[in-house]
Amino acid sequence: MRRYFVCLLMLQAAYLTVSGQKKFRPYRIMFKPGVGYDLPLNTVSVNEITDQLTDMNGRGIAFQMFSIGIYPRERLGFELMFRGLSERSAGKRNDAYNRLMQERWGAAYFYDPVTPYEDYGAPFESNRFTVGLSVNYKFDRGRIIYIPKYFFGVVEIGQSRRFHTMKQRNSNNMLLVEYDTEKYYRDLFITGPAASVVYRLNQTFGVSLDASLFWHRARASFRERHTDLFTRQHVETPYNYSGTMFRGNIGLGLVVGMSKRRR
Amino acid sequence: MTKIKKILILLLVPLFADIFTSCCNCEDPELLLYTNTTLELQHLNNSGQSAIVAPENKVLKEAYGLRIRIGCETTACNRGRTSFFINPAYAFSCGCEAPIQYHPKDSVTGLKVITLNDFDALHPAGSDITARFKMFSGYVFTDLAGYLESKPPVFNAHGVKNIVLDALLMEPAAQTGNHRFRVEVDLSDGRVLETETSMVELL
Repeated sequence: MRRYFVCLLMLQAAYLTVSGQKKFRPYRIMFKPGVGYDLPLNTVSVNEITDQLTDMNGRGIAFQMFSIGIYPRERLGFELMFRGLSERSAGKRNDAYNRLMQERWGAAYFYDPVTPYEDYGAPFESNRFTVGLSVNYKFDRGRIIYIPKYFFGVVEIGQSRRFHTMKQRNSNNMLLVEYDTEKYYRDLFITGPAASVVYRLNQTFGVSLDASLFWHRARASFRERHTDLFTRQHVETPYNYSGTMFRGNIGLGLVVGMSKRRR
Repeated sequence: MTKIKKILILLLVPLFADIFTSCCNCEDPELLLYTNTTLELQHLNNSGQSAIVAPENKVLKEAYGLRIRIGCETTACNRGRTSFFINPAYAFSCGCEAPIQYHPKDSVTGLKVITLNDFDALHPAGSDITARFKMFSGYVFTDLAGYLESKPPVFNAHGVKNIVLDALLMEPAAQTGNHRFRVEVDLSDGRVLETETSMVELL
């Protein structure tokens, strides 16, 4: 209880330090690195195993490595944003992939689990990048700035290839299982509304709460092929992803702003 | 005169190339010879993740294999130098040749697996069933004859090692039973190495 009151007092003191009747000059340029959580609002699934080879349904901590908003007019401006998903989602998909492969093949074949960076094409792609431009309209209300936006950009979603040579139990036979795709990355158009609320600590610095709701086409394709290495006979199955993905993101940012100096 | 100069330059190109790629600091390697002398056979059980020597003479016929071990020995002879101008070690990488090298005096020119009892209705005792066996390497099953197309190995200072081939029975007989096999290895100098396996029950 004592700690609670001490924290409250410290927050109050901080607020009094930074507050005041000062009038803030509107930002003309805003830099905003931040961190948030990226969450798909729906799932596009075609095959449990190939679902792990694409980051289409990935969720996790997203780093907004770069964001710069420029306001040529006091209210109207645009923002360039660059955001990436952390690599931890690759580890989770890799574990799920190994479990599903073991369940599917383990009874009849010896399956060796793979690590995220072990394959003949590319590692489990996890760094889903989103880059684009938004049109912003800024409402300055003293310390608080409300910025609704509309975003247009590109999201790059990784796709992995895998191949496994598996020995059949109680047999000399060997089976080659391949999951192949034409592209390591898919660049998809992404768009949607977003909003930021900035609390200005002083003339230059502030903190922001950001939220967005984007959508993009769910495009991916894989080919599964099983080849009996003795007879060389093979069976192929295509898996094509389609539909629309909806993604939400909520995060916090540190704002560094520059204002026009009064003459 | 110009023509003579061009001809002289062309004739000297191989010499210059050899000098260019020679490493002055490399010692001449000692070239020795080895010969193929013995043949040993073991039954393999490939039921598991990799083939092992069968602990008992009962193996699933779909998982049966034959380990063919060709023993090699060094000879008293040295191999003659083959470099035309200068020792052909490569200067740019300064990768000198191994100081001691064992080259083959003879090579394997033929390899057969003969069944000593009736294998199936089409292969009575004494039949050549080599084609029923394959080697697996580099994601591909190859005929035993495929080994013959590869160059015989050159060993270095670690010494001469045995040549080991794991021949897997890819087309077993339909019925189970007891079997024995004889392997015949033809060598380039006219010798034939041959030996027989013990009895194995293919389940």
